[in-house]
Amino acid sequence: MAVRGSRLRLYLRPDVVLINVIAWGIALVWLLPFIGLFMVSVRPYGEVIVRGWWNIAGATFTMDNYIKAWGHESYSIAQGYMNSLIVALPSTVIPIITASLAAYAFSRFSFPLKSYLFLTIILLMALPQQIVVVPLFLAMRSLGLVNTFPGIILVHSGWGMAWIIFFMKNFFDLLPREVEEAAKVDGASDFKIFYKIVLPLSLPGILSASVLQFTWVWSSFFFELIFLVDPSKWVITQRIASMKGEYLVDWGLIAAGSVFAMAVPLLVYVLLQKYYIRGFMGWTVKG
Amino acid sequence: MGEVFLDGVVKRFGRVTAVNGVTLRIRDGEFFVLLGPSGCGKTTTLRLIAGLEFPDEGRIYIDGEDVTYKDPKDRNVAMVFQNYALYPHMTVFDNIAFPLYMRRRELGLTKEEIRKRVVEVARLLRIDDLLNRKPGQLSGGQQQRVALARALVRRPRVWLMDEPLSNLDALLRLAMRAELKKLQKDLGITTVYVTHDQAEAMSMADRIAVMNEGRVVQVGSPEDVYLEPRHVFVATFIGAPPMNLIECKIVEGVGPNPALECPGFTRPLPGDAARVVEARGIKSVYLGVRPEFIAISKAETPGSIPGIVYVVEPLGSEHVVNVNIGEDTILKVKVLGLREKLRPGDKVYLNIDWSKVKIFDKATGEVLA
Amino acid sequence: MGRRRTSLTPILFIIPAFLFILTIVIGPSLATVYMSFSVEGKLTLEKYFEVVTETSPKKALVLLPEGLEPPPWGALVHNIVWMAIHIPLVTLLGLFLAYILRYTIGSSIVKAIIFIGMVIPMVVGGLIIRFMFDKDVGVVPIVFDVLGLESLAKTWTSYPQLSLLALILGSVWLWTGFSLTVYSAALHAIPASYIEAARIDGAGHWHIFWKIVFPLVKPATIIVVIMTMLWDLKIFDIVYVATLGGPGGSSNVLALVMYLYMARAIDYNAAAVVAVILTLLTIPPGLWLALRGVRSGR
Repeated sequence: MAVRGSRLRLYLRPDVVLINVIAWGIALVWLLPFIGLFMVSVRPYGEVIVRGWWNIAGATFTMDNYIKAWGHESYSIAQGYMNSLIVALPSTVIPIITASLAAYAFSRFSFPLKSYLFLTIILLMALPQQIVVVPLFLAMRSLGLVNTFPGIILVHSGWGMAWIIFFMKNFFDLLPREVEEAAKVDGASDFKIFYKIVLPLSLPGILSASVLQFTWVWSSFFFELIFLVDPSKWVITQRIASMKGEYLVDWGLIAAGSVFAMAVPLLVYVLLQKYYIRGFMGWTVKG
Repeated sequence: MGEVFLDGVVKRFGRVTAVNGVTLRIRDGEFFVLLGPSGCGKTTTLRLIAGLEFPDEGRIYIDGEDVTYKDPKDRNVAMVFQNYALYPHMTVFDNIAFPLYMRRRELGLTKEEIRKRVVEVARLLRIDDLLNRKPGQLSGGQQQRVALARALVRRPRVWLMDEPLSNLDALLRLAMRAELKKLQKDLGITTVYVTHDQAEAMSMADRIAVMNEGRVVQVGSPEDVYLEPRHVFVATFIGAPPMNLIECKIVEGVGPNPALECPGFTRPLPGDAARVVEARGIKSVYLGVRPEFIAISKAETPGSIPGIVYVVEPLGSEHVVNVNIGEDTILKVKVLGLREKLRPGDKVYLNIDWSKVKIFDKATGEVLA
Repeated sequence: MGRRRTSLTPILFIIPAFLFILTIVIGPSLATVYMSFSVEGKLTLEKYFEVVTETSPKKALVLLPEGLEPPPWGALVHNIVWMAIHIPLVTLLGLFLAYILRYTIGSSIVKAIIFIGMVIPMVVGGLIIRFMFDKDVGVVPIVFDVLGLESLAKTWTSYPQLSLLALILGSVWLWTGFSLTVYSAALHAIPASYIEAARIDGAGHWHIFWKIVFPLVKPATIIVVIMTMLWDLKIFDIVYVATLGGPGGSSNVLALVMYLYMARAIDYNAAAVVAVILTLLTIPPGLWLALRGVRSGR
């Protein structure tokens, strides 16, 4: 009670009141674009353009924009959802498994050139995607992998590898070694120790890395622009980017498509916030 | 089955030599304790026997078989870790069964046989009602038993324990000492036990190896290392309170032998010590005497050493009296039940049981007599 | 001396990952570098010269042709301007917010709101930027209209003088969640006693902020600056959807020029040149991160 009382008194001080007003003012400004986007998405565009989305008096609310976007004849969001999932799920699972194996080796074993390899891995994290796409496109075109989901999945898997190795290595470094040594004395081989002991204990780390990798692949745009040219293969980001016509812009349709596109990462973020932030901090602060 | 032989084992970590030429022969069925302060190399020695580390020099044999560079899984040893190292994601049953599952094929065990053996060992350690719990739901003592069960279940050749009792509270620790010792004797498994607690070592061991700075200083039964320390380090590390050390000079004696000039008294050197001292030209020594081999009295007797009571530490059934005998030399005297009340400042007289006194070379710390 | 055999296990553990990295990242990167120097089978700097001196609006790196709307900058200059405005704004705003949120009711909600920009696809971010600066539906032009500033009451993304600024401001909105989160963690790690001691010594908010907090979060500041720098250099999605570098190349950036060379002009060597230039710019901050990561990994 005493603590609560003193907290309350703190909040009533004039400077602290001012701070609260500023902080919430900024939060409101930051939220405004999303409110606007949402308002535009649930109202007929004609009404919005005449009266403004901020004008709620006598507003009509409708799901028309969502229905139109979901089944859009050239940029169907439904198909985009499907394609994005087909790309994002394997592009998460494959690198998480392979990178975790490598990260474990970096964390626990000593081998030749280890520190140089690890330095290389961290350096790769800084590279822009632009540095790989030209030769990759040419090679994949000759292999018939352009415009295919396996092709883009390979690209995402390889591209995500570096940061996941880095992240998981830091995670493994924090696991107690005694448990693995106990398993070693108990007769387990290195691979058995990895999948019977280390993997189950690393689930929080794996989940963090997966959550981040999945939302990044879901949100990815540049690789898709290069490797998925055929509109039927387009993922969701490509579809909403194309919804804006050159001359006539139907903001209602774009807004609804945008809400669809960000719903998945937002949902992942809200449901798995703890893991999302942990992964995010592992990606930045430790690095 | 279970004889361990370390032959001139050396282990370095970078520039630090953790284990420096250790040679030990641990007999079958023996409770063998590696005792020493932290950083003395005892845990590294244990890990070398386990196969968690490989030596830079020397050889390790188990039952005559050279296992120096073999992986832990090929040594048939079991280990209990200081923090138990239970698998947190597995039930107690799965924890205990794990070593059996890992060797299932080579041991030719069926699921049912594994279950039987797990239950059997769990019953032995009285944790059979906990088999479905996870380690996180257990008390420290229960976790300890699970760790012991896991190490027991596959009947290893050697049982390795790294300070297994140090995370328990004091009362439980005493109870577990006795229980562990009894278990080991009943099963007859060779046990190598690491601890820094000399009382634990004394109460459990068949033989103790006292280690310091990567070397074995002395190996012997608890009585041996207590009564016949071969080095000042052993004398002061073992016993609570430790052995009194009085710094004395070697001086010209009245008879043929040189004499000891100590704070508060002078005394001729016994014959065997005198020969060594003269042969090596030793100038100063430590006189070592255990606190219980000194008698204290308020009355002066022939040969007694006068002193002033400095402080009295009551320890329940016994007292430790600190007596200043001059030149800032304080002797600890262990007294079973004080007949007369002693207070700081009282004048007292000490009688040393000279037959129990050890003499150490001050320069090398080695025992002379 | 019978040494222990070197174990194969670590090799088996890292091989799958390195196969991926070699084929998808390292191999193609080296090939790109090679392509940037290779013209009709010879290795020359010709392409670099051509790309750097190019002045057409969609491809210019340094300067636009004479006579176009000011400022006459190319994509590389835009990236630098972007960093010059974006990095200080994001750093200061993030630290300021992280600090005042310690005294704010419902601070975790405020944090979550500001972090949304980090979670959504950047494509959506770009669309929202365009939307917010649109004179028909957006809020920014209307606010300026109310304030009577005619010159700012228009669709920013359609005017060369304003399009880059609109994108940069939008990127502040998207990226502040990053600096706020990093700074919040850093502030959390400062023992409360430091600030309490300063308060007892009579320091006000201003002094506590600049004399105690700011020096103590220096490592976080370095991270924010480096990561923001990398993000600004690689910026692509929001530019692509909001302006496509226009109008007249006034908001073009390096990554977009690279794309336009590759996908529109089908000039792979020129695309490789831009990619290499972009990569060279990311290497100093990347190297800094790498060395730091190796050191902390010890």
